[in-house]
Amino acid sequence: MKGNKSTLARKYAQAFIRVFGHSLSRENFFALCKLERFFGKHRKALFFLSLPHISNEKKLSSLDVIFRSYGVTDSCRKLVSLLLADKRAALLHEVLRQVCCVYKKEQRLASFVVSSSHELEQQERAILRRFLVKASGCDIIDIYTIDPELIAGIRAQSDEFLWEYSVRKQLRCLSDPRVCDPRG
Amino acid sequence: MEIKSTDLVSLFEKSLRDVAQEPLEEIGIVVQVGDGICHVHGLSNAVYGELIQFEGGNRGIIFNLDEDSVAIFLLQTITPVAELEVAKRTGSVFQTPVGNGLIGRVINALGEPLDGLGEIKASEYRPVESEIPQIIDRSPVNESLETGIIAIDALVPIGKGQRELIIGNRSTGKTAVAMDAILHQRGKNVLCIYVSIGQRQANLARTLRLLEENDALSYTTIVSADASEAVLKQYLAPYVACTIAEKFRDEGRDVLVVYDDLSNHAIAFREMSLLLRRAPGREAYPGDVFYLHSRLLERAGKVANGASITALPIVQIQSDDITAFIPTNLISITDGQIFLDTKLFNQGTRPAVNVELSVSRVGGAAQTNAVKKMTKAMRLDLAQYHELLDFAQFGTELDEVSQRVLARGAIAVQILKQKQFVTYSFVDQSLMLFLMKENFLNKLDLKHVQIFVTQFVSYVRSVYPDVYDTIFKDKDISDEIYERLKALAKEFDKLFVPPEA
Repeated sequence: MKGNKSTLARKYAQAFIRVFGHSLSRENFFALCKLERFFGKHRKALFFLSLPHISNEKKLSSLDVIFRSYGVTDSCRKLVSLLLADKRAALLHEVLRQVCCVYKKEQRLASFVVSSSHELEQQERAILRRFLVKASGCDIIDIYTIDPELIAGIRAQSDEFLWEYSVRKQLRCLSDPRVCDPRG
Repeated sequence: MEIKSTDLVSLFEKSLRDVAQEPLEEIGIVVQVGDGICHVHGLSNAVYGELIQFEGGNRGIIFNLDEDSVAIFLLQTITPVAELEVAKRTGSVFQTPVGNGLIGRVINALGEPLDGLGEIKASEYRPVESEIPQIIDRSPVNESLETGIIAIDALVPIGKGQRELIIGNRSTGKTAVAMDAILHQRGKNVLCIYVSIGQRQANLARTLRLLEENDALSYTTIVSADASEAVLKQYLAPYVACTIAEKFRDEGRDVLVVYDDLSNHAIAFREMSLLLRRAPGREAYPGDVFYLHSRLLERAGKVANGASITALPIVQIQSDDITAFIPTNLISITDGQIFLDTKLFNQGTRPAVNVELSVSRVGGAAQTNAVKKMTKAMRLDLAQYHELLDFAQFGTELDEVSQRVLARGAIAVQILKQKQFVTYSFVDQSLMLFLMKENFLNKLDLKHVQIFVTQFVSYVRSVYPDVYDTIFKDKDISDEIYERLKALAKEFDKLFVPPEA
């Protein structure tokens, strides 16, 4: 069931990208991702979409308020209209999630969360960015955080890639060699 | 500026330069965990069967590739895997330690020792799935693998490189037959591997003690995946054992592998497939359950360098039904079967080999000439005996010929009975069967047949060792030796005193 939902949502997302993808700017894309995260945290906000006694127009105008605040009114409105017409409004969050995934894949975008043991300087960030672009072959969106548990070193993680060079990893390898040993 | 490698800051500097100290690893994120499986989003370049390493320390093997996720079976149940945990590709498949360091050891499906004798000293690591020897790399099965069980060696002979299925109901002596075969390999330069799949731990403990007491551990390896282990380990165990056997075979050695039992193996695979939501087929088994066993058993055989892997897979049936799905699969894959009959077992005929339903497709090609000469008409004698036995039970008067057939068959049944853990060499067997062939047992009470034949063997071995050794050396009974044996049998017949009742 869950697999079917995901597959269906991906199809809506692919259609959305085909229609609106060329006009989506990077800022629009970030806005869509923020919107997706918002709906992910506030799933109950979408509950009213499944109530039959509320008309589609009222549902759309309620969502317009949210869309306007994220600056994604036109494209999202059309998407929601389609979902409402197909009686699949409950898929909205999953569709937005798939839109972000598909867009990233097509534009070869990789969102890396870079954790370091201490604050990185601009030059260091630039070096790291260059390395990640070269190694992953993707355009990088980087978010920087501090993680003292690394002890010393850096960890850069995206949905598909991980690069870590830290004392924590070395200690983990020492305590369990299989972490670093590819043998079965 | 010179970078000091021991300095943490310079470690940091090194990592920021363009030359990466660590590679960029492909990862996925765990989205669902449960029932020993986890679904990982990502890993788009991962391959089927690849080993995946989780950051928490657990490992797993990929069994399903979906469009944007993979399904991974976890190798360990005690190391937890959390949602959103990172899963990394290792770029390799699951491998097992192989080599001489495994002889005499008890390991689990992961290659970890269970016997408390320290770490396994492996000479190398090999993938558990490997290519099957091609036709051109094989040689014919023409050398006998003695099990020491007269009913098998005489009527259902097994050759080195053969796959002979042991099939029967529960508690009919399947494992006992396999154990006797292993015990009989002492001093014969055949390494043995016993795989316990889905069995109780108490059974394994008993087996281990038996092997230790009979000094069989010096040439035996045990791979255990008992009933409490994760299904993935029960699935992997036979392949691990076969990989270990292949290493020995590649070194030019003969290996005997006992899979006990493959019905539990099929059940474990069914559980895995159902958890992966694969479409169930007959008896809820997945469609590729035949391939599960065929690719395992096809790895046995005799190869061009003369070495061999002999497989004795065991399968348990319900209510003597050999037409069930898994048994019929295995019957079609193997080179014969030894059917252990519940009725015979309950009647006291042990080993309870049903000679009519048992067959060895290699047959006489893998039998020593000495035994072959003595068993020419034995199968027919037994078939006629069992057919007439039904009439005899009605109490009808039988003619003289039928009575002779019944008497001869009854003697044959007595000779084929054998105690557990007592095995006979091919010389002993040929001597026993010689007595029956030449009708030296006709006048004896049935209860004295066993004693007579065993004492005759001891008599020849101790009083006429030259005859015994000649048969052992030639693996045949020449006409001259045959005549001598007749004389010896007459001599022994006069000396034999039946024991008091």
